[in-house]
Amino acid sequence: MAGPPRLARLLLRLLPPPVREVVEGDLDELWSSDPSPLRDWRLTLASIGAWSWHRLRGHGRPLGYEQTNQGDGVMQELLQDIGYGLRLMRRAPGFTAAIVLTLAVGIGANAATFSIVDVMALTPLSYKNPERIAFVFGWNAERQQRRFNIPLADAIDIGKAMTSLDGVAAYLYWSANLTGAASPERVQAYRVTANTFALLGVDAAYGRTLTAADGRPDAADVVVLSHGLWQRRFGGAPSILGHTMTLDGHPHTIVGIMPRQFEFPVFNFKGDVWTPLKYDEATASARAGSPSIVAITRLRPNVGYAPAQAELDTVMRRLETDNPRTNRGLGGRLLEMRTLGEEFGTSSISLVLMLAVGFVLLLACANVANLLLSRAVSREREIGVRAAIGAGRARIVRQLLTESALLSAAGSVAGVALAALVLRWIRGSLPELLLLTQPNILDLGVDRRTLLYTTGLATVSALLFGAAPAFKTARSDLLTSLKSAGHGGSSPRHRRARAALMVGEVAVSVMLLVGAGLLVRAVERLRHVDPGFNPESVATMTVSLPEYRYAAADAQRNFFNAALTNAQQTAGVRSAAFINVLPLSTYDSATRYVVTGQDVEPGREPTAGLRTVTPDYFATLQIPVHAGRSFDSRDEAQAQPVAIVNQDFARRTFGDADPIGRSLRLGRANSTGALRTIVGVVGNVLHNSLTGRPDPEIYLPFAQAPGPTMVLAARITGDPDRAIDAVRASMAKVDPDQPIFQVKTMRALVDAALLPNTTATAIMAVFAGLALILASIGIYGVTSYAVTQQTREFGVRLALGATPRALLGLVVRRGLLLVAIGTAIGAAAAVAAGRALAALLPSVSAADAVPYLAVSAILLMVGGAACYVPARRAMRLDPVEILRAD
Amino acid sequence: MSRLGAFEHLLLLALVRLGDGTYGVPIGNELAARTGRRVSPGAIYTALDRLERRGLVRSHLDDPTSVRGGKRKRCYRLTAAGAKAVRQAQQAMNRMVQGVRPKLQEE
Repeated sequence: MAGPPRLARLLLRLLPPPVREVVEGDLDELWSSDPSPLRDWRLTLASIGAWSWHRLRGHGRPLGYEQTNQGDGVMQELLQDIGYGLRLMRRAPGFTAAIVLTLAVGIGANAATFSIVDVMALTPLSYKNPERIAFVFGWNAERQQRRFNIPLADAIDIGKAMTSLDGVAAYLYWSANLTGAASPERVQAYRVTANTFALLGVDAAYGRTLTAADGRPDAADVVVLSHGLWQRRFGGAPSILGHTMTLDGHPHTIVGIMPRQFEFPVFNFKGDVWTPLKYDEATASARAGSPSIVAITRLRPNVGYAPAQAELDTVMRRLETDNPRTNRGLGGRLLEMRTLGEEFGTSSISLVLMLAVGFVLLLACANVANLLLSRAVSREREIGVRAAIGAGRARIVRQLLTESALLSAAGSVAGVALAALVLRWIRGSLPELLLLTQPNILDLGVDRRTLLYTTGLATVSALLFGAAPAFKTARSDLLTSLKSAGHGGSSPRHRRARAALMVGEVAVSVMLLVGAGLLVRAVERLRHVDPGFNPESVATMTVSLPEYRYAAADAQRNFFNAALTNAQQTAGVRSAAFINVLPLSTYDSATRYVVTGQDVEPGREPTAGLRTVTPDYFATLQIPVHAGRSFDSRDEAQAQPVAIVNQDFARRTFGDADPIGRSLRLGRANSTGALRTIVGVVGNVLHNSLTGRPDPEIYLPFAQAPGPTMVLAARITGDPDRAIDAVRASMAKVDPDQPIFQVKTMRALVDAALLPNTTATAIMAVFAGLALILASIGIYGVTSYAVTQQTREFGVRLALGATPRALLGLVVRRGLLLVAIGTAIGAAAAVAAGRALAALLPSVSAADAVPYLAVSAILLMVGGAACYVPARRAMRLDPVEILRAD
Repeated sequence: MSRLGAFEHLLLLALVRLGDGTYGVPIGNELAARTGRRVSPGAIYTALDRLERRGLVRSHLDDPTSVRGGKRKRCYRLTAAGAKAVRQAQQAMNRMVQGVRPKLQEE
């Protein structure tokens, strides 16, 4: 049988030998009667804890052990230092509080940022071996562009052909209406191939996941629930297994419930329910009518991404040869799922924030070092005495470092508490979109990884702020310190160190402030980007009609016409219209098209955004009509098919020629769809992001191209938040069973599109503010200390006829000189940092002089104020008292 | 008179139950068996060390045995002062408990 845990036994060496013998004997005896490693660990740690506490409370060496001559061990010295450090902390509560608070802010900000970045980095994806799970994206060779979706047929063929992959799974967004006992609800549903859960390596918490049999075309309808929906809708009762729930009118048998932490897919809406994506193995390879899906895969063990990508390229080329009509120019790209965040640019923001907050901690450490240095001067005598009676230099350094470690530990505990509070607040105020899409977002908080990181930080900061004072003090010359201490003279070495610290602090805070300033300017510019429509005073909401009740085009037309009439008649609504996909709503829809009279090679048909709108859409969003006309009541279902294009489309397709009257057909070259006449040209709209460029768009009248899912946009007189409920109620009257969701103002959508930028900027601004506060405390501390140290000198100067005003000038000048040096260094560093920032974040412009100038001015002002306060003290000195006291 | 903490009280009672010459393991087992709480040897010895300073217990090192890997054990016995302290603590406890038993049993 294995013995007790060896590391635990090794730890017991911390106890003084006589105690260790007795305690270890007891533990051995317990082990021999009932071995249990966990208990052994617990009892060992508890014993060490109890004994340390005992010693700390001043009980000294244990009774009965005096006669033993064995050494007392490192533990005793350590405990001595800790005890001494604790007493020292208690003796100067103000000093201790200042240090602990400063460290708490520095360490807390770092811990909180780490937790945020950790969640953003998707590192804790709750799948088995997540590093081997990848997306299989499409690749448009002609445009060198990635496509998220590929046809299911391709995914199946890739899965069959590739040896470096352990299967390919696919999913399709569905978004179903859940009806039944409670009120109707819109749930995020996904159809997933039956192998999805096996591929991710996650099992159900209750019941089962999907099996191959569930994926056959004739299989019964089954559904797997998310933990969240199960709790929300069914009160978390496991007895729900085997019952049915109605999705879009079809009953589905509930077969399984996933664990709480399971979230799938990433980067899209997190699924509430998963149902099998059914297909027939025999006909699945047919390209025609194959649904467009997102494919994921798992790399086989010991297969790298490069060889797998190479094999995928070969397979895609073969598929292209086999299916020239559909697969022309279509390649594939493997992308490790965890790195998707980097693709979206969040990792560069994360990097910037981590660096910035690291600098904040550096500033906090500088301030603490400053405080410790000032105390080191007053402790020189004490240390001198210690050295005189035989304490070695190493022993003194160890003691001072232990004191620093204690301060750092206290600061970390306070910092972690601060971080937990801040994170809880952030968790409570997260925007809905983030909650719905960001994986693991609810895990935001102080977890084990954060604690580990904080422990590391605490150690590093203890060394950072403790090392310099410790070595300086220990190195100081014994005799001089014994002789001079108490006379208020500070060695020039100390003064230089403090001046250097102050210059460094100013430089770092200038850098952070400039960085924040550049980000603020970037967001300001984005805020003033014209999206091509007027987002103010517009309310929006989505309706998605289920197939089972509204399959026919007429039924859809009737519903939306009735809903639109009701909405338009609601008090406060100036105009209202429906569109299939709203700008900046993260939804998009696209089509290929062929313009009459322009030859295009089959397979190379261009694509454009496809929008279906009711007549008043352009008027409602105030999108200008530049040529031709808008849609109106003429464009009904049976009338001549028409289309409106945006300026970008007109420019790309027709150049300078007039597009009005030309015609186009949606789909590929062989499409038999209706030939549509272009009747108007409207302004460009930024559909996907405020930082991007407008895309070509084709608008169709809703009457001629009805669809089941439409978004209402209503221009409101006055506050849209107030009218929103009335509009919603008026639409609900058409069909009370129909859920209406994503109710929000257009302004909120625009703000949400800016969210990553505004959030990063806000956090950066907080860090920069903290940096400024810390730096001004530092400036104040250094100047104030200098004034105290020079009291005698000032007294002499006053006695010799210097005016108080001259003294004030002297102190402020000296302080401002240091601030100016720091600002110059910081500005130079900020130029480099600004360039790096601009390289990471495209919306930032490094050649923006405003932040540099503003920050330098702020620093000089704040620095001047921080010097002025202690300088006034110098001004009010009474020379007689000072000289008499000498 | 010396006041006893709750844990010290339990420890002294364990010494009374186990008799003179007992040590950490039997004391820990006795506490675990009767209170359901497993206390570390370190905690037992620190408390006993405090009690010894106050003259309530006395200790000596016993010869090593093989089951303990050749390590000696520290054995404790109650002193007269210790016995008196337990008695007083017990009486105080009894007085506090008087009359509340029916109420406690209602729960």
